[in-house]
Amino acid sequence: MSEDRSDLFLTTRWTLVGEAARTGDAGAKQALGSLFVTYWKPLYRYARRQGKSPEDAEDLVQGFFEHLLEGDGLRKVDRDRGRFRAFMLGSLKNYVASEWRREHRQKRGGFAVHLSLDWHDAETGLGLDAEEHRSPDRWFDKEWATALLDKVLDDLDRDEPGFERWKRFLGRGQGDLSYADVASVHGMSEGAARVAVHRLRKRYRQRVRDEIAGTLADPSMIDDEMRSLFEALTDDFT
Amino acid sequence: MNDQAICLECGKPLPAGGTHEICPACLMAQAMASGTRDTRTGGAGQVPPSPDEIAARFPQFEVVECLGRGGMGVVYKARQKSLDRWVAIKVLAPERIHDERFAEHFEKEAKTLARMSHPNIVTVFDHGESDGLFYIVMEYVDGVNLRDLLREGKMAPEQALAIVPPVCEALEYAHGKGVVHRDIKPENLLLDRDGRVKIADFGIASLVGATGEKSGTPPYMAPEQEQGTVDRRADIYALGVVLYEMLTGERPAKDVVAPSRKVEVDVKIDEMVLRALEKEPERRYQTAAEFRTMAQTMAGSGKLPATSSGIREARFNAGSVRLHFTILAVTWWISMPLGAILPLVSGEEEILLLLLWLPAMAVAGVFWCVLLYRQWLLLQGHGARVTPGKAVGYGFIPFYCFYWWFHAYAGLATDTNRCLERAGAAAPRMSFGLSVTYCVLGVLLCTIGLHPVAGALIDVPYMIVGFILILQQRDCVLALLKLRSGEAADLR
Repeated sequence: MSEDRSDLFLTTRWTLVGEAARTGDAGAKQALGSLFVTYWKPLYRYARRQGKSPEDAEDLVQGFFEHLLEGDGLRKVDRDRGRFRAFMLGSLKNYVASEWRREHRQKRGGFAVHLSLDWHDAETGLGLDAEEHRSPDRWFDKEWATALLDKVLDDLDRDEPGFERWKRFLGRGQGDLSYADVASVHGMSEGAARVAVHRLRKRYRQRVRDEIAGTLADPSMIDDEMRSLFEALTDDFT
Repeated sequence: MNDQAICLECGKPLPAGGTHEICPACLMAQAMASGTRDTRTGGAGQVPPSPDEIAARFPQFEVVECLGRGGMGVVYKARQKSLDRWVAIKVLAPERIHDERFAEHFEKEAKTLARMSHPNIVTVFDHGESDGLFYIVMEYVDGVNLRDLLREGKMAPEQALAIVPPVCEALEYAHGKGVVHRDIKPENLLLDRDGRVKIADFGIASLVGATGEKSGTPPYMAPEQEQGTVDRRADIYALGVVLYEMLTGERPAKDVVAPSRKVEVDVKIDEMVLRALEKEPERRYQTAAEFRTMAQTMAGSGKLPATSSGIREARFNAGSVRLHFTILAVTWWISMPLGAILPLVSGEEEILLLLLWLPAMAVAGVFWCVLLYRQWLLLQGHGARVTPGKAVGYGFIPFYCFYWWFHAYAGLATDTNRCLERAGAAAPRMSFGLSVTYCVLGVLLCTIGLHPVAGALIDVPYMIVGFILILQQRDCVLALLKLRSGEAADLR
């Protein structure tokens, strides 16, 4: 029930982006902005894997965002709005191919909308070896999934008391971590620890679904998208 | 991607930075794990009334959400405005209420439930009827039910054992008031935020099953519940199923496989669980208190309790067992030949023989009985299917009753072997065939023994078989003793 409601709400966030193309509504642009804040990193790293320097990648992402907001970029949203992920990568590619060069020349260093992002952060762990250059699209999906999970964990960290304490239980299957150990450290019973972990897992799952729903036009695609993201994450490029 | 940390779970490299140092692939797998999302409604059948519909009927409550739906009805979370407290409102499924006398029965049962007050039982605050909807207002437990926890997989034995005592305490309390739950299952065992256990839906099953229909949840129903005869031992059976499920992650099959065969638990836990799961109520724990004591002792020391269900602990050690058996063997070898030649002599010789034979016979008989009884005691601790009837049988052996003789020896051999088998002990087993042969020879001796020649002919194999049986029995009692003192590992 609550799930349906939140799906509805979050879907609207992505649908809003489509609205932005037609109406130029400021709230809608904000919606795009909030999505962008979560998912800029995969875009940046995609650009880096394409051989761009950090400065150029930064400008590219910055310019791309502005292009989406102001230019014609969002017009395609309606036609191609199934998945925000696919839309973003497709749009970025188009942008790179057609417009970036020109806009870059004009606007280098003078973007109208400034994205306040920690560009340097996106460099962490960027390998850029031959292997990573070979399949930037697949890396994009992988990093998209990582960015999504990052967002969910950040939100949980903000909203859930005791998240730090229990978060390591999120990644693992049962049996590997001892509830008793953690419980004793925090002076609670094992049963209470189990309950706490269960609740966190439940909320976590719901949040992942909500977050994914926010990037889709149709909530019924959630499971499908989740599977794609999981496949991307487990893809070892062999 | 060299020199990177690897996820211990799935073996994938961990990305540097991001996802709070948790493997993203595992995180996504966790998110995909089904059945544990926040979807507590659903299930087949008609759609339960929405919270708004319910709210219209209960102006004194602020109905917030539907918590879930079970066979008995739908539960809503609500705030009681006057007292500003959270409550759970259970609205009984209308399709269940088909009896005209239901209202009367509901009233009676609900009053009984409302009188129950125990920290491990969800308190009933109020009950009533509103436009044909029967409802119960209960304490709201902020937590999860055991089913939710079990979806995450089986539990550690210590944790599973920790859940049993509070449930037993609640059952003891309710049984004392003559209330049987009749529907103990993981869904009805709630754990609040502090890890406390509370039993929900007490007596709802009997309340709804007003018309004598079978009520309960099949996998957790005791066999006798099928016939509609239910007493407190049905709750013990159901809790046994829950315990089995907590330990193994599975419900017991028709022929119960000992938990230690499925997961790594102490063999002593097997016996504790299997006793609760006995098909015949008489063989189970007779009270919840008994079950609780067993679980607590297991959880506490990992050893068997000193006493349980009034059965005395077998207080002897390996040394005294050997001594007992030596005395038995010696008196056996004295009394049997003497008995065989007794019909051949007369006069003073006969009196002299009788003076030797009778005491030897008495000592052998007494020792054999004592040993059989102790063997039975040892088996008790391991949950073997030894009934008091059989124990009496063992005591009857000196009376040469064929039925009891056979029952005792063949039964004891079967039970002992099953017990050792279950414990995985590589100890010697009792021979079923030898036990039967012994019984048959014994009966023959008693019937034709008075004939000098025939008696002597039977007596010789009887002596030999009996002696081998004594040796076998000694080894088995020693093995059982070892099991009891927690040295099962040595026997493997």
